[in-house]
Amino acid sequence: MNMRLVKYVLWGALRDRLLLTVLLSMAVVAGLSLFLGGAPVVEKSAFSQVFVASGIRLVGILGLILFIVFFIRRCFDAKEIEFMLARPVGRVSFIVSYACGFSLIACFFGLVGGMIVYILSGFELSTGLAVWSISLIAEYIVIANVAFFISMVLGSASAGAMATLGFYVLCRMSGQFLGIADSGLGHGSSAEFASLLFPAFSVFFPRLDLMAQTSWLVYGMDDPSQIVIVLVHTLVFSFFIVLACLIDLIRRQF
Amino acid sequence: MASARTLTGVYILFALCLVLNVALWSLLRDKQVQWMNVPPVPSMTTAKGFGIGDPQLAYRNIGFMLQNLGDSGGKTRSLDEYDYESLAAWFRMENRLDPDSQFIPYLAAYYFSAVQKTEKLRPLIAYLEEVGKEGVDGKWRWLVQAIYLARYKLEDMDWALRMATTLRLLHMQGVNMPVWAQNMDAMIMQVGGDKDAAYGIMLQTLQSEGDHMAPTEKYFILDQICNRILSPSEARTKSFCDAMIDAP
Repeated sequence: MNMRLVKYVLWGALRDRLLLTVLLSMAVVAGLSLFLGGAPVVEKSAFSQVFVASGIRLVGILGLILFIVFFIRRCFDAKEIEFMLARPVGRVSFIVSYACGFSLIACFFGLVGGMIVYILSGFELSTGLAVWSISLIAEYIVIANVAFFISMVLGSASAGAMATLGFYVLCRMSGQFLGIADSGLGHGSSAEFASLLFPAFSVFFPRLDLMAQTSWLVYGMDDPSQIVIVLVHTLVFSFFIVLACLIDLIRRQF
Repeated sequence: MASARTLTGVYILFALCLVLNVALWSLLRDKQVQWMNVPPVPSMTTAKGFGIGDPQLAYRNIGFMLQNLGDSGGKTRSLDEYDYESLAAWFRMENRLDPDSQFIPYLAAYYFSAVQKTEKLRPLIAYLEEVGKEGVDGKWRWLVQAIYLARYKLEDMDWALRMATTLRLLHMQGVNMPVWAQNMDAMIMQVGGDKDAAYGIMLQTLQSEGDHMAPTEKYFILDQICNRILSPSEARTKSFCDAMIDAP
């Protein structure tokens, strides 16, 4: 890993005012969510917590995807990647450093998200909040690496952003899709075909639906250890996607 | 550089678009979004999609939508216009998304129960009965609300008695509840008259469960006692009604 490249990515985030934009957006979303959460007749704090947490999660994801995809495409367009690879920076080092840089940004957003929810919940640190924050960081790391991979493969920034966003939604809904496929409720040949196809494809969709559940913030968590397997899975998936990125770069002819 | 003639053409087109925009705006000025009544209940899978894979977010989003269902285009619909069968189906689906929350039973018992056409209450009472029968986490009190609505608003004594028996059975199965709730069947049949019994049920609910209630729920119960069950002269004799009596 090349620390200069990691710093270059972090500097890129600062230069693009990503941190400032996402932090401000998170604050605005938190304010709006608090306002919305005050409208229900009862359980106002539960509504606020759920809306704030969900809003922050979405803002972080959008910020990460847009930044990473446009950052990488700009690097390609400005021939920065070719320039860097022409210097004594190996392709392995390049991919690992960039993935590390993006993952650090993802960690930062996850920590900030957890901190905002912690502050708005009246500085009450619960197991549910701790697990929610950890799994949010894991979710951000996965999506950051997926955005990195997709932007390296696809030639268009908008297509890359759309594809990553679609992948994220699919991952968040994968539990539902698997449930439908397992229940055999789909009627018609196309639905039956999709029911057969989805379980096979879902191997490549990390179960993000099991992570950052807002019910943990409201009701706490009985057994935090159940999330360990999900976290290990996301870690393995992140390595898998970074390796896929590496294979793509090694095979690429400039 | 654009010639003066081109520029004049652009100005004319611009002015034309402006006039057209104002004309179309005035046509749409009084149009409001059509209220489509209670929408059909989606499948559980679709409902979870409201939270992008997060059932708790889906529960809160749908709950928020149900609370504000009748507000469209600045107009508020009367509860009489609502389709209560569909409403109860939404409540049941919400109960499956989050069986622990008290928000939807609260909406059903205190907000939607205010409908003037009392016959519409049947699906709502049936829903409260189902939630109350679960007996967990103090949810038996929704069964008390169902009994209250069946007995004093719907005036269906048989149904109210059946639910009171269910309440007693819940106690026998180990669900913790105060003595008055165990003897609900006797309370609703007492000879003191409907008003006394209704007053007794609400007051006992407040006294024994008040500590577990949100302030708004206490307020609703006090409102029921002071403004609906008791007459204004009776309410004036109760100190807890001082802040609740409707202004003349």
